[in-house]
Amino acid sequence: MSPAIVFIGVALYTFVCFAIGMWGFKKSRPTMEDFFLGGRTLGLFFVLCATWSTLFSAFSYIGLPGAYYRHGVSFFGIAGNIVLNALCMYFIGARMWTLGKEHGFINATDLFASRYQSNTVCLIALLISVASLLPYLGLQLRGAGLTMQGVTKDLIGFETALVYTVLVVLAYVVLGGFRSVVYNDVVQSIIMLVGMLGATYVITTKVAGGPGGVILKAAEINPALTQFPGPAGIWSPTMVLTTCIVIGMGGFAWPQISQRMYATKSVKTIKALAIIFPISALFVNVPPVFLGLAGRIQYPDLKNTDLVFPLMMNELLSPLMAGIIFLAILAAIMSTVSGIILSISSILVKDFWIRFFAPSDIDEKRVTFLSRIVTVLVVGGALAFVFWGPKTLVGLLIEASGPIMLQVLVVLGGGLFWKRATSAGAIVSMLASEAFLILLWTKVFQMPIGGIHNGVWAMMLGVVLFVVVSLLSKPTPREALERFFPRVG
Amino acid sequence: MFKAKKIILVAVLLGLIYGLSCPWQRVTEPLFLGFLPAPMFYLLLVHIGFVGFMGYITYAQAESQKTKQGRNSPNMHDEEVKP
Repeated sequence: MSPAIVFIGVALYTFVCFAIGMWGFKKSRPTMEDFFLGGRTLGLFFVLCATWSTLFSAFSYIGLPGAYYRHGVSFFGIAGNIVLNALCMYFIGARMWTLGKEHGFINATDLFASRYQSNTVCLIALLISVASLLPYLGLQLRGAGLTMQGVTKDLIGFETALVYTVLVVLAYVVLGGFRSVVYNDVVQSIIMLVGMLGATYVITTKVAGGPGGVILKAAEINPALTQFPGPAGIWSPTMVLTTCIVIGMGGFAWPQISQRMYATKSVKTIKALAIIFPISALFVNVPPVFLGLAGRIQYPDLKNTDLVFPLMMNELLSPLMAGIIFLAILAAIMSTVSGIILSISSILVKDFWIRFFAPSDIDEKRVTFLSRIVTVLVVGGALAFVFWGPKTLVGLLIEASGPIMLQVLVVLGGGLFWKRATSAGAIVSMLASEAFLILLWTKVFQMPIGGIHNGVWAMMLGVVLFVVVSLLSKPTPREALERFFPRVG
Repeated sequence: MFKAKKIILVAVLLGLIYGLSCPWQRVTEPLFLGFLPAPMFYLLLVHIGFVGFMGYITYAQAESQKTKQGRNSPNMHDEEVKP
């Protein structure tokens, strides 16, 4: 890749990010609701770009083509997770919005405190959310450094790339909060879309004369590459479905996604988002199939399959096109990172500091200032955790981020749709299912039936315990429920 | 929404979830639209099915809302008594 193109591209991109950050800063008001939710005024186009770009990270460019290289078309089965995510938006998200507007919620965790009348439920959900997201954030940042170093063939060193990513993201998040994040998400979505579609067209044409040629050639290499359950025989119907449940529904419970539900301007917007989102997601989920299989044709014996896209990018694309893809990867990383940073900060400020430590008469300006400080600390914490944290724990939390959050979704959905749900049921369900998940993940305990994702086993235990303990414990007082569900009914 | 309609909707949802599990194992052909292998094409149909499902619920809810509002509105009575 040409150094001149890389530096001009990075300079332009940085300028745009800062300019948008400043714009967001000028439009923002000094309230916590504005800093974390942009004043709950997000329209359909903005919320679509924000959700789309937050959910799709550099993994779509690096990890997905690598996975299709190994598993072939069968890996596309888990793309179905998006429709489950959309179903959660449609049913759970719409109800969250109504209650969020009524009670001024900012995170899913403060909904827990209010619904279950329990700070303990809120604290457990908070700890699970932060423990699952902080290492994931650190991994994204480290991935940013490694990707930029790899894609530019050491033109940009790992440390330089890491520092650059952190500084740019922090600058626009700290300046304008949610508004800056969303405006940047729009620009980043456009860059990602152009990069993904452009790269797929050029690479598939050069390798096999187009996407159809890629599929035919891949089938010649190994017919299992174009059918289920794939060359390794992993993707059986139960495995596909349970993985979709874990990624799609667990993904909805991620604070950076569920928080978007509060930020939209109406229930109609959320429902429209749920309908459009699965279609827009195909623009990111379909191209990597062809990229991965094109890589399989071009480099049949690749050891590290995650290198397949950077290799094709450097060898098959023109310097200008490779520059655009480089920016697209950068945009994908930054949009995901900024969403996570803002969510963790909002959880720590609203549900930890304000709930347990802040004086009751604290003014909004001070809270907003503190939110900016916490945002910087969150990034520092994430980097420290990934670089110096206990390796096994870090690895587990990153690997199991989706399944971990799926256990929280049980309590969230249960609390919103079942009035008999109690705090005791919520606490037992979350603690037991997370503990069971760790036992399954570390292989201390193994289920007798194979082909079902560990996260779903833990979720099943969580649902049973949630229902049984709720029924056995004292119901939530009626007045509290009437206060919580005034309009939802 | 009528009870029968709700049962049909639940049945459709279960059918779609079954489709999400990609039951078409070992199917390779045909190649749809010249580039989509059959397993991918079928899954895309399931995606569209889910989108249609949510779209239909939104439409049905909006219609039922309109009917309720129409019943409660005084204009409705005016229209009813007009010859």
